[in-house]
Amino acid sequence: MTPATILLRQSHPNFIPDGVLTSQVFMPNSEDEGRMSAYDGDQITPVESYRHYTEVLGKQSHNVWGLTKAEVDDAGVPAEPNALLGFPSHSIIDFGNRGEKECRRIAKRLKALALSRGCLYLPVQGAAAA
Amino acid sequence: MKSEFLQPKFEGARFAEHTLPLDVARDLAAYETLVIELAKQLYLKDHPERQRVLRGFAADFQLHLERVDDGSSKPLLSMVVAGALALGAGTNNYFERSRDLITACIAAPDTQLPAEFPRELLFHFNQVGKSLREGERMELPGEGTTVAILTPERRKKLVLAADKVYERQIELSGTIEEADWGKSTFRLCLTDGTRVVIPMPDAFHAQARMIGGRDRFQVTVEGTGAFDSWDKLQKVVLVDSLEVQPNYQLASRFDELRILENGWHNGEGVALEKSKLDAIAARMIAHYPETIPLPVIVPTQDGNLLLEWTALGDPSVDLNLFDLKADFHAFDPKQGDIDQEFNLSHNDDWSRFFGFLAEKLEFPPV
Repeated sequence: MTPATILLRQSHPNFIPDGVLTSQVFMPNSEDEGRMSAYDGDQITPVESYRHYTEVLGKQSHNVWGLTKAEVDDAGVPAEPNALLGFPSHSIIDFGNRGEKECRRIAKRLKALALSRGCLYLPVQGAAAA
Repeated sequence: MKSEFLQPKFEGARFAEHTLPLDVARDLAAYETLVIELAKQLYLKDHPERQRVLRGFAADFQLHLERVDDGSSKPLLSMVVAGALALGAGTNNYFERSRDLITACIAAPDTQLPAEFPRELLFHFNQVGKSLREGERMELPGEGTTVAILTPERRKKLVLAADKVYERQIELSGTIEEADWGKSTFRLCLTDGTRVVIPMPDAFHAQARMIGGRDRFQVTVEGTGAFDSWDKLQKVVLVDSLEVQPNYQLASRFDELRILENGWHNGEGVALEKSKLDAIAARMIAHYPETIPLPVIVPTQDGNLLLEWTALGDPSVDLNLFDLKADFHAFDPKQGDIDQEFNLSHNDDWSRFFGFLAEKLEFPPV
């Protein structure tokens, strides 16, 4: 993982109503204990990450967004590899033990960065990932 | 004098309780009208010397709903006759012939409607069976074991055999773009951009003046529309009801949030507490200022709400449903971040909250 590595983040459909990205996509939840999951874009493409997330892990994703390691490091939430068994591209963005308000501020900054890069993969409705 | 006349059978989910919805009962009243009109024509055809039917011919004939039997929903219609009809003046059988001919007409192939069924009476199928929804049907017993089946599609074909349009129930939602007070109509812009002219009852004029041209107010029209054979709406012919929903985008969003169940976020995610959500929805829908663009509202995994606006400083509100505390935050590069907390369990704080949003939210020029 280098500063230029793109970290891929899946957006849950409930966090992107009518296609409008919200900062909730970049907000760690209580189960994360501050360590928010992402895919290492050096190891997996946005399309492949979507497939893995929805088909292998069986989770819901509306589309895929990206942030560089340098961007998240600058935002104060450093990224690092966190390979899991059968899931080598698993990475984390570490929010540490920050409170909710501070996490929200950071999540909003990450949202703005992701928006400026643009959506990296949006599946065509009703079609399998190409 | 009373005798059994017809026992149609209604099939479909709405009839599973062996009851008859009242709007379906209206179809039976329309059926009675068709029976009478057809009986009149059959009588006149048999009596070419007469200009009109016998006095009391129609008035003395009625269909009564005697009971609703099980087996989906089977209303038993009895013929109740009075006056000359009761005396058996040779006219009763016209109603039974009418019944049989209607059944034969429904059962006939599209291109082979019974020759004796007058084409000018086919428009009655705009009303007979009008309440039937997709997947529902009305079965009319015919001779022997034959059954005529009336479905929405069959009804449409019967009407279109003699006319260019057929009628069916409609429900349209949109915003009022323009009103014509002289014609007492308004133009409704549907969500897909289609424009439809709606007849407006006088009682709705005041409301139309208030909400016309305001895109936060959605009007839902229920009534009857005339459609061509391609199912394209040609005209709204009758309005049964008009309902106005203020801030309908918010109302619709809160409805979506309300149905989230525990586990909505990939097996995790707490359902939003309905009573708190309803209280917030009621305030937001009724009082959210029209001058402020609407927020995007999403749930959080722990059962709370996030509101975000596409505005300068990326403003947001984290709203805790447990204690109704609302945390506003926006970036402000000149003065540092803007943070403000509201306790929305207090009535006063709602107006303070909306006033604060009106003051602080800055939107980029369009």
